[in-house]
Amino acid sequence: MISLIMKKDLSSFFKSPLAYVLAGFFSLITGWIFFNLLVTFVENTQQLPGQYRGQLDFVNHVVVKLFGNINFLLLFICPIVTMRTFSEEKKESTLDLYFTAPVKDYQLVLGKYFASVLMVFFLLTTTFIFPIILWSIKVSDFSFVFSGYIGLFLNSMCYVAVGVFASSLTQNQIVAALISFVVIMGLWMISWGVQISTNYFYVQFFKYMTVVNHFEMFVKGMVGLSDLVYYASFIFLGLFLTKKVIEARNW
Amino acid sequence: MDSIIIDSITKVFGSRKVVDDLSFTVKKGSIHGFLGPNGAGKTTTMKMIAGVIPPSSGNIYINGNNVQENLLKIKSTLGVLLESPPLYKDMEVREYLKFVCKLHSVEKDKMEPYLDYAIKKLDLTSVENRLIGNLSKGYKQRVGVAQAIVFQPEIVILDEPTVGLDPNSVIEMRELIKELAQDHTVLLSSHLLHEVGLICDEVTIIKDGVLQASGDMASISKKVKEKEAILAKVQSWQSSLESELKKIEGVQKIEVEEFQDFYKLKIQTNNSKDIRNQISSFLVYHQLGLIEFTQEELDLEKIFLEVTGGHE
Repeated sequence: MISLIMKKDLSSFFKSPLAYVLAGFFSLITGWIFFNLLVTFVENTQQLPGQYRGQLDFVNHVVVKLFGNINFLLLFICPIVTMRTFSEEKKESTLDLYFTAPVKDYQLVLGKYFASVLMVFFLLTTTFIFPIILWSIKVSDFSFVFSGYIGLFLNSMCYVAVGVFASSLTQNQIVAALISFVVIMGLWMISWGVQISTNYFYVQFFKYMTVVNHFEMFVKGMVGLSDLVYYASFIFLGLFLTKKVIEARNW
Repeated sequence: MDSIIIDSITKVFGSRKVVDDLSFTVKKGSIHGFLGPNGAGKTTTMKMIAGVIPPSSGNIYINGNNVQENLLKIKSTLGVLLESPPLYKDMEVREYLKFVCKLHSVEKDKMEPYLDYAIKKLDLTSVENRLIGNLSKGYKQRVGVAQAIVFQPEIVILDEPTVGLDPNSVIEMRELIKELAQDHTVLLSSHLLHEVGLICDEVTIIKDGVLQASGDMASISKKVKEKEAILAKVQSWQSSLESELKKIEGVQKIEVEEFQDFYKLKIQTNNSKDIRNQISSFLVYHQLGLIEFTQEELDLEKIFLEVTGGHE
């Protein structure tokens, strides 16, 4: 049942022009960023005296920055992808189709969630061209790229959970997108809390609560159990709240 | 046997009681009309029967099973079309109906015959490969009904299926609902009272969430028939004639209304026998200038106003 609902949502996503417009913009912007990072790196390298040229860290200057930028773009992409999930169906009263069929609420929420996750994954796959380019210019260390992608995928799964929840709250797609944008933005801003306090407990707390911090761990290749627990509980909470909203049938 | 038993259900939204201690039954194989003015709680009741929302108190039984306790099992025996058809505009008709079949876990080998049946029954063959978003309102409504019957449910619940249709489509829809009753039990809500009178075997009338009347059409009509009267327009009238007219056996009450150039008589009879002949003869004999003479027939519309007590 979950896969049936997921396939249905995916198929309507790929039928809509939104999918291709988003993919186009996303790959254009990420491509431009990647190009600039490479150019800047090459310029910086050439400015160094000869004996230091090989020592400029490619991973930190290109790979980490690239993933950071893509992650920033997800802040806009995920709300747009998820804004339709529930709000449009509420508006068109198509949710009745599921409510009157032998479908459990959690199946509906999961089906729609995974559909949105796959849509964002699809957009992310357009960036796979970058590792291929890196490979062709003989960059040898791909572990960072690999863990960076895992971080991106997990991050987008969190953002989508927020987006799906926001979409379940309203019949208006724009409002849904704004809510999820503000919430995800808020999660980023928690990380600034780290700078306003010297209290060890607060610093650790804020660090743990922010998505960015966990994502950085992935990009740096330092994946810990606590990061995975963070992502899993984040996603679970988002979907749990969505299910509660759907259960209430409050519209 | 009763297909649906509504056992004193109440639904409260916040502080507003939308449905109040409502009970009625729907006989198996019947077409049951569910009537009420706008905002009477019809849609809410239908949603509760369909298991979309739970009642605040009371129980609903479908084929003897409590809806809330056997939600998934019951949903597969119910075909539901709520107020607005739940249609995906970016899907083709056949593709959409197939999706509905899958949602109801129809077995693979039964799927195609079921689809053919629904498409044929709703006369959708010419549009089966068209996008739902491009269809006319009448066709959309038909697709809505098709999704309610495509998986061959035992009971079909239709909420205002004729709303927004042109007169021709309304007639077609009426025929269709009659046909559906051959294989399904149909619960149908409508504000088109005339409609319900034409196709329903039983009827339930609610107002402000409270039951007003429920039973087969004949018994409800009979109840109201006692209130039927003979209407006559005469050009002259004297009040002394009133007592003479009352001497005719069966005449119970006479109401006279005076207009500029005629009088309107409303003669209430006890309906034990037809006394129209005696009354008309009386009026002619006294040379009152009889210009109009009719038996007032309460159609469903008047029954409706009668039991809901107003002109909503």
